[in-house]
Amino acid sequence: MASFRRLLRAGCQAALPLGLVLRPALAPAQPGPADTLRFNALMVQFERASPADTAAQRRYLSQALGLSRRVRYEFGEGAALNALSYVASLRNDTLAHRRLLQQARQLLVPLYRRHHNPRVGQVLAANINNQANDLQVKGDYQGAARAMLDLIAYLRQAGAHELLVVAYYNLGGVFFSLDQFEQAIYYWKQALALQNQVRDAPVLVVAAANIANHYTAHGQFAQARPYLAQAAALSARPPGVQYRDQYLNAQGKYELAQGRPQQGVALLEQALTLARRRGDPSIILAMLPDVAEGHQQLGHYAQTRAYLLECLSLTAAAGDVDQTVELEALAEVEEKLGHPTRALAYFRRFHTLHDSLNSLEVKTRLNDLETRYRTREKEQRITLLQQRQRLQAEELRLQHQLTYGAFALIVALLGAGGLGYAALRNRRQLERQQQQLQAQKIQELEQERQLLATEAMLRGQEEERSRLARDLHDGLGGMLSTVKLYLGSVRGNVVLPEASAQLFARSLEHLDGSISELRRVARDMMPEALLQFGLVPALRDLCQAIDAGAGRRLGSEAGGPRVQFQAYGLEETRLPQRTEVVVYRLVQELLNNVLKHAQASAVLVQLMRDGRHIQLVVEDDGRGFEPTTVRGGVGLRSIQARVDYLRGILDLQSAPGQGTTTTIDFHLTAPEAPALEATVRTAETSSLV
Amino acid sequence: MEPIRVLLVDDHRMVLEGLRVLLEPLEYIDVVGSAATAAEAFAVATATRPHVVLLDINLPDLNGIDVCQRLVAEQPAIKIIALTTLNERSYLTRMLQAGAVGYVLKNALPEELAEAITKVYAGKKFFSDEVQDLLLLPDPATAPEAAAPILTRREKEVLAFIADGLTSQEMADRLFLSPLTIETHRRNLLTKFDANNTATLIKAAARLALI
Repeated sequence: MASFRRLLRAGCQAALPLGLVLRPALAPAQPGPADTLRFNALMVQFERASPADTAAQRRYLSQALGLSRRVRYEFGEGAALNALSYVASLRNDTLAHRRLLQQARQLLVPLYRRHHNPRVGQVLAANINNQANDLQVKGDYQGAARAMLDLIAYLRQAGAHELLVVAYYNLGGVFFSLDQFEQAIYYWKQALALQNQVRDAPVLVVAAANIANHYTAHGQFAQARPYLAQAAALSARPPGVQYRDQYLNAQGKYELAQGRPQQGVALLEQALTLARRRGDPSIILAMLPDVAEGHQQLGHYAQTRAYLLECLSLTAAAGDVDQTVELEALAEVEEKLGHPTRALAYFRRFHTLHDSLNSLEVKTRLNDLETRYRTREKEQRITLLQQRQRLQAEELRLQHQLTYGAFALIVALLGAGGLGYAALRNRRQLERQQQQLQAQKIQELEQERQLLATEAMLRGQEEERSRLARDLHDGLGGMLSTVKLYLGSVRGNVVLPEASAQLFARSLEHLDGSISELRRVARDMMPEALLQFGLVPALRDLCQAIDAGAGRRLGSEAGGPRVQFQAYGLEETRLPQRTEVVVYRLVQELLNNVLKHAQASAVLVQLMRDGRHIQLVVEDDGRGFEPTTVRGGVGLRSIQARVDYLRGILDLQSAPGQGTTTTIDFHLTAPEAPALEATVRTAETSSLV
Repeated sequence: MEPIRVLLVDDHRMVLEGLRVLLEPLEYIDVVGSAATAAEAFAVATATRPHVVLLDINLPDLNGIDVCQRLVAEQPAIKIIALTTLNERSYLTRMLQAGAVGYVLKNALPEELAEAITKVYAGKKFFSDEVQDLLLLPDPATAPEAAAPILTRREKEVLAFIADGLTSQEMADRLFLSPLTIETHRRNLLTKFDANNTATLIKAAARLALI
């Protein structure tokens, strides 16, 4: 009985001619309206021309093509080429068909990438579909599957569900011919999943029936049942009713497998009757073994024999050399019917054939190879013709011989190709994920790059400042001091008139002022103490220098605020030098802002370290501001840049009349790496009061 | 009376020259040598055994603090006056710790310089006027432990809430902050009051009348 099952395979694929040839869609408006109208008119004329009158069709399309090229109407050109390729296929001119398809595609793909126009997408879909059909005819299932996956992508973007159903169905068929049943079932199910979104999709009956057949053949009856029900429902009314035979056949097989041959045979006979009415021999051929098997189970050997003989004649007509299954079954049946001589004859034929074909698997491969071989041969011949070479015949014979050698190679390639398929879908998905990942990575790298640029700029700035500060301090400062020494020594030695003496004294004062001003500038630029002793002493110096409280205690009447500094957990520690400089600058800038704007009477600068977490707070009791209005000033921006450098978080809290608190949190990285990493502190809700 | 032997150390030849011109006419001072680097200074000091060294803090090869320390270690009787433009407390204290007995700013007048040399030679200390101002300030490095710690506004709020017995989550809700931030404030408060737990913290804060 198992021998019959092997024939199931042939049936599934033959159930529908692979791939509906898609007719091109009409043009969208783009160039001058007059040209568009003419183009549309030509296309309409082409549509209306009798399918048999390919000459007229070609004429209209050539005109449309010429027009599109003249006015540089790319879509029109693509659509016309596409339609021309369709006409070429009607004339069985494979070569022109392929060439035109390719030309059209070269135009349409970039066009679609640029505009994503759904109509372009549809024409492109038609193009790819026809290419897939062509590849399949050539026996290049791999190429066909690739083209169809491409097609499906376009159709999904275009939202063309009707066509998508057909494409899924066809792709399932391709995988089925490749013995990749899982994949085949997957795509047929995809087609079925769309059934609520399409109205006119008769192939869904076939898809459901195919799935049911697969499950039945593998004894998974529970899984077969829902698909049978679907096929039944879909084929109960138009448009699915035209494939009612497929459903009946599937249901019959199911009954047979369930051990109900009576019902099974009845259903299979019905299916066969409907199929005969449709008149597709490949479908009839696919159904015959099932009916034969059913009758055999019921003991109706005469009917079994009749069906098997029909099978035999049909396979012969289809040019299929492999009749082993039929012959073996016939031998068995003749024996049952009491005709041992006939049985023996069939058995002998079976054995001869079997020996020559070795196995069914080899046979299908041979078929595939033969198709490929013929395709190649044909292409070769065409090339030779085109080149008008006299050695044509000889070349062909040579090619013939070479091909035998190529057989072994191709068998191996086929195996590899099969494996490649299993990975095909996975790979596409992986590729998509990888693309997303890559985009993300690029963004991260971009951010990283910006950060590095800022870092480099800040570092360069600091180095430059450090150098300048030293030059000022040591060079200019030293010279001014020396000048002052000289002048001071002169003072006691000469007697000057009153006015000149005053001038001299004022000059000395100014010189003094200049020296201390220079000292201040140099310290602001790069405090020596910071590099020498570290952040805390340097900040202490800085705060003390502007602390009016300190000034008052010394008797001077400075108008500035009281500045207090406190540090915890940092006394003995030196941070990475760049970090220290950045933090120092932050305090400088923040204090600058306070002095300039806040009119504060007290400022607190606080630096705390807890493990690797460092927090800087600068808080004043000044007039504050409305945070929403001040964002993004130059001062704030440079503060933000420095905080970014530390990969820290800046939190600014202020309100008019309420003072301002600036908090900066950041983390030190591991001691060996001087770079700093961001804190993971959750951003605070804006409680800016 | 033997003149005071003076060594000049400064990396600017011009400054060295100026100092020499100013000091040489004084009969009680004998400029025994000058050096532009730390290495030179050590060599000349060993060779000339000066009484007083006028030492610049910024030297190209070694900083003045270390030079001072080593000179004092080698010749304990040596008197070192820091001669610098750096009018900062951190330098001043460190130079003093390193054994310097004078601190003179470079914009000093010649007589101030002469006075400094004679004073330190006599075993006293000498500081420029501006430097003395710095010395008058309380040392902030030791101040915080003595006085009450200064609290930020947020820390005051959190301290009050802690005293009221609120949980971190409750505080977070009231202050519109994340509990994590509240934890940071709480930890900072413990650090500032040198407390191990909330009870000690409240006690310390109450003692300082902060709550």
